Amino acid sequence: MLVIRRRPGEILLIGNEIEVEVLEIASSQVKLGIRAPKQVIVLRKEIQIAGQENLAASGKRSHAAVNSLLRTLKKREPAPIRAL
Amino acid sequence: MTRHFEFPQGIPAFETHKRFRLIEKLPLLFLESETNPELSFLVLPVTLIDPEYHLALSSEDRATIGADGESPLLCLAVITAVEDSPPTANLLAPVVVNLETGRAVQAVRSDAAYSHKHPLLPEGAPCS
Repeated sequence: MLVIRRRPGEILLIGNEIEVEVLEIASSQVKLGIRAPKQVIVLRKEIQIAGQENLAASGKRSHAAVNSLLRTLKKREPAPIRAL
Repeated sequence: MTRHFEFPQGIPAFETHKRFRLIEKLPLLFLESETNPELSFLVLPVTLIDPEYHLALSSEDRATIGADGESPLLCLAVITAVEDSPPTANLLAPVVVNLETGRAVQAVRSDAAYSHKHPLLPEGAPCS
């Protein structure tokens, strides 16, 4: 992984068209500004993970997996399903 | 009993699906898209999977579902139960419904406190 040190107000380039500017730093957060062509998708990594997991979860369900899940649930204390 | 929920932003990878209905086949629950009923997700109350689950709702997600501190929230984990792998729950991104407004969001956490593939079966249990 390429590692670069930057200060607030400083910019780095990815290719010719993508700029990432460090806007603000705090103790546990960095605020970044990104300039990129419209067709470039800029996404928080965890959104991509959630999307991939949603795609996996939307696939054909396995009866075996659902049945083993049901058996596991039966062994547990029934949890209240609130306010349905 | 069926409930209809509105997802103003859809959910990641399915952004065009803005309305889902909740179908109860207890103890299982399903979220079925009203845009295309062939799309459905098996979901379970998060507290059933982890009674200690600590929900982290960003201010953006809170605004999306119109939730204040008092709103009754239903928190559901999306389950992945497909061939060739043991079932897992996505605790990184629970579906959070404001039961007052009927609006819902998949609240993707920014911290790494929970896994998107939380195992549901006791370790070593055969998946059959």
